[in-house]
Amino acid sequence: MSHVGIEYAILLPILVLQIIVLPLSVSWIMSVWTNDRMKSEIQEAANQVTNTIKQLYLALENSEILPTSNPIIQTLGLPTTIESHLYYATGQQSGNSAINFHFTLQGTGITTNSSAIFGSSIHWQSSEFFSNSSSACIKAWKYSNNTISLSFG
Amino acid sequence: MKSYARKSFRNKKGVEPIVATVIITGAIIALVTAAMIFANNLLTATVAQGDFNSAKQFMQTVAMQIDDVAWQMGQTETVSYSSTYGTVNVLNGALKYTITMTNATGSTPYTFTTGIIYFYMPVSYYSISNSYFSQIWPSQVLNPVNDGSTAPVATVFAVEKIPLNGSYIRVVAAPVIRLIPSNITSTSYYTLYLPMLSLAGSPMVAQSITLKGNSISVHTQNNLKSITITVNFPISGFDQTFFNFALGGGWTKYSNGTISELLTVSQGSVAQLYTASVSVSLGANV
Repeated sequence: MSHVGIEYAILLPILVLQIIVLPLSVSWIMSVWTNDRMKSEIQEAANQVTNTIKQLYLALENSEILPTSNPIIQTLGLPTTIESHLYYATGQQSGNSAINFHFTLQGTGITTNSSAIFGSSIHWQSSEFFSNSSSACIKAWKYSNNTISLSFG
Repeated sequence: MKSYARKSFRNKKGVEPIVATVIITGAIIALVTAAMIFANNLLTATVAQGDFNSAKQFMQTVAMQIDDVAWQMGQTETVSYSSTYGTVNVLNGALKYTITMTNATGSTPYTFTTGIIYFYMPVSYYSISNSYFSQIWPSQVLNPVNDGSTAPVATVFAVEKIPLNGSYIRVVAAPVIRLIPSNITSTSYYTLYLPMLSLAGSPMVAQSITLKGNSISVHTQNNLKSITITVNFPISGFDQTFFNFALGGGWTKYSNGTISELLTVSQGSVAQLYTASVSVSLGANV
């Protein structure tokens, strides 16, 4: 009888522990997986923004494109949310020719950076990109001195 | 009757607690392991798909950048990318262009060999289907010569062709010729531009490509009768079916795999052929 009692004393806590461990493990795995997926998606969005801006710059740099007083607008085609989280981006000009972009996924603490190197004729206007903005875009101006000014719309 | 049933139930013995615990523990470990493997595989696939989508944008930027650096000697530009499972490479001598200019005194062939830049990722991470081809930039499938001042000097496409130096899905930037026809007084001018890519080094200290315009050469011929453009594919496997150049419109494919176009020009035309040597360094700068 005492043998059975010892078995229960040892095994019951183990079973109870497993009832706790299983949901915790699954929750932890899913959390890691979701975070990694969100990191991947925000990085993809950052790459797309950076490449779109660079391509717009390269297209405008062509001497056949004349200066314009109205901005040239390029839509981004990015999702409004990533895993139900909104995200925003800021850009900062570094030196004469580089722009660093900083992306933040709201409510998650996930951030990422991307950067692009342009020619010396680049000028970045301080602006922010919000994923839920109905007018989210890139705006570009080409001035008569061939300076290309860019900003988020 | 009732007491018999109760007695009978009491006498039924379940499995030993130790056995039950071992079974439940084993089942939980198996479930958690299966969940981990499933989540990991799904994450890998998602990240790889993100890499591939980013690479399409990145290679389009590279193609535009080639045009930016090629025609200014010494111009250097770096483009960064971010990929977990893929990387970029240069395949030297993948395309051989022969431009033959014919006038009253005979034919003068000019031969140039160029490399291609490609992003590649093992199909074990991401695959669409064998023989998959998708034109990325510009949107329509190009042939090796394209008219107009805004015509690109490189085409970008995604291709999955297995086996070909391993099993990879690739995003390729391949140089093509830009042809600008113009008329000045009564003379027709044909100006051709071709960038030639070659690998300068691959330190791979960062995920980036650095392009540098090294030199430009010009070849001119007067009183032309015709211009013939021939494209050879010197490297096995990297042939017309890989590049998928649009045929038709004067282009002919021969049994040896070569494709060719005869451009009939106005009598007495002038052709100027600009070629630019562009060196490509992989991972040289951040």
